[in-house]
Amino acid sequence: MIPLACIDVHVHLRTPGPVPSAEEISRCRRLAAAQGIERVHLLGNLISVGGYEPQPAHVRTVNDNTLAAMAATPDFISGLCYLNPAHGAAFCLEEMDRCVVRGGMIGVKLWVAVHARRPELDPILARAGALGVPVLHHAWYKTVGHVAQESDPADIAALAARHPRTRILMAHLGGGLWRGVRAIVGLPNVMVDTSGAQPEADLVEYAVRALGAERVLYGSDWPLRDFATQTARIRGARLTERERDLVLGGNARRLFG
Amino acid sequence: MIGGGGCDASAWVGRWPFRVPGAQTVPALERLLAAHGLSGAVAAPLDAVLCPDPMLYNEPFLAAVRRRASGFRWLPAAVVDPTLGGFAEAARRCLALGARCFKVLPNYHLYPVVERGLSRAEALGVPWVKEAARGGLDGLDQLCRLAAGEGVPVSVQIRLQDERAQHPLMRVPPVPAAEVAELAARHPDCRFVVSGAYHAELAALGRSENIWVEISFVESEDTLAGAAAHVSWNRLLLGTHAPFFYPAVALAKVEAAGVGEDERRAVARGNAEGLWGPG
Repeated sequence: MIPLACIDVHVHLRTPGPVPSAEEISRCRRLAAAQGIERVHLLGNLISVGGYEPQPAHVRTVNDNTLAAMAATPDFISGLCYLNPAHGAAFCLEEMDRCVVRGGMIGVKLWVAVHARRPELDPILARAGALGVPVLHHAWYKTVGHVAQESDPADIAALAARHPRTRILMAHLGGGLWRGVRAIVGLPNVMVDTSGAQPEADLVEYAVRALGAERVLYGSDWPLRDFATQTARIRGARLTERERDLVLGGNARRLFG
Repeated sequence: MIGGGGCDASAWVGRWPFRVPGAQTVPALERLLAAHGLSGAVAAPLDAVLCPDPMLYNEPFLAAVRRRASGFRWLPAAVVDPTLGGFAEAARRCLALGARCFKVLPNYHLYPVVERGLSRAEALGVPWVKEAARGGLDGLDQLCRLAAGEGVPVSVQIRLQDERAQHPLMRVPPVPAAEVAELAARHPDCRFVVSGAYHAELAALGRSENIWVEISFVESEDTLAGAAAHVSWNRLLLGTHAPFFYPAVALAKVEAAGVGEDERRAVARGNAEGLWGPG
């Protein structure tokens, strides 16, 4: 049995609606524990609620689901507040107050509803910076299958440059690949999670060398992916024990508290 | 580690132009896989995929494998492009040089595996491709008959890379899994190993009794159990896709919780032994 010491910063649930499935949470916990994962950061059941351009009601439903999952398993699940910047500053900041300030969520999740270079993101980033919570933002360099408002690592770099005091966790090292690492190399307020696509050999080592081990965080994108394969990307990489421990959990503890 | 050493059903030796280089030689790949507890591998020369004549890489690769005397079980695969003149003679020569598998990449070599796929080749608008695609389809049938007669599997590479990560000027679509199943139905005496399939493509492959599937690209929330819902345990094969992917990931799929010991051994080694004989 692998000792529980890892934190997975990129997990979803599939069950639609505001109430999470106890069976799905239980399955998530069992599969995570088998790989030594003691805590997961839930980014919402956004895959099954609202699609790429969720309405305000969808956003509230996703966040209700996350809050309920946190309440059901506070020793296992932490949550991030899902937002669509297109809904305007008033709605987004109120939702941050509801979920982060009053609800105990530990960060903000932005996906593909509004491009990262758009000004609609600025009030959210500013508020997250003021609260001291990170913003996890989807990013991918796609040759095919690009969504209209989808951001890539260069867009995240531009966002980070506009908000140097806000910490940004860029999702999907496996989607941005080597070019994605280069895009954020000069931006110390940007970190990257290791989820996304295929387990490209040497990529985790490359990111650790280019960014420093302190800026690379393990994430799986479960249930689209498998905890076993995603942790194996890290355990199979040529890292020192210190680097591996930072990526698998140490950095998440420091970044999210 | 898998007890007794697993067998990798899909690895490569050589270089690929759009990624950081990995194991480029036969000894380097052997060291990489052996370090992960693997004791054998089906591997093919990667440079042969984009070479105008794959034999220019098949022959030195097969020679390098023959020179190994380490105890590692090499099952070399020869890359065959059936659109090329003299491909059947080349394939026979590879068998004589020790090849244990034919590796075909229809999407990179511009031919379909079923008749209706010819329209995709025609849509490229390159006159010689239309002719080559027709020849490749007929040649593939000829190669499958040769393979069946010689008792060697044909490995169909559906994809080499996630299409989203391909170079924008070199977009190569995947081979449709359903069409590979039709190819297998056309050649019931030939054994096929499908490489590079995603989880979503397994349903199209699972009903064919003469198709084995290696799992390097397969992933779902509980990968091996999810794969077994579509493809019988006795037709799933451990595959690393090294040096593109971390070998540890393939092993993690096989070693994951919820998989019985018999199934684990079958996928890691036993099913490969069924195809290539005990090592």
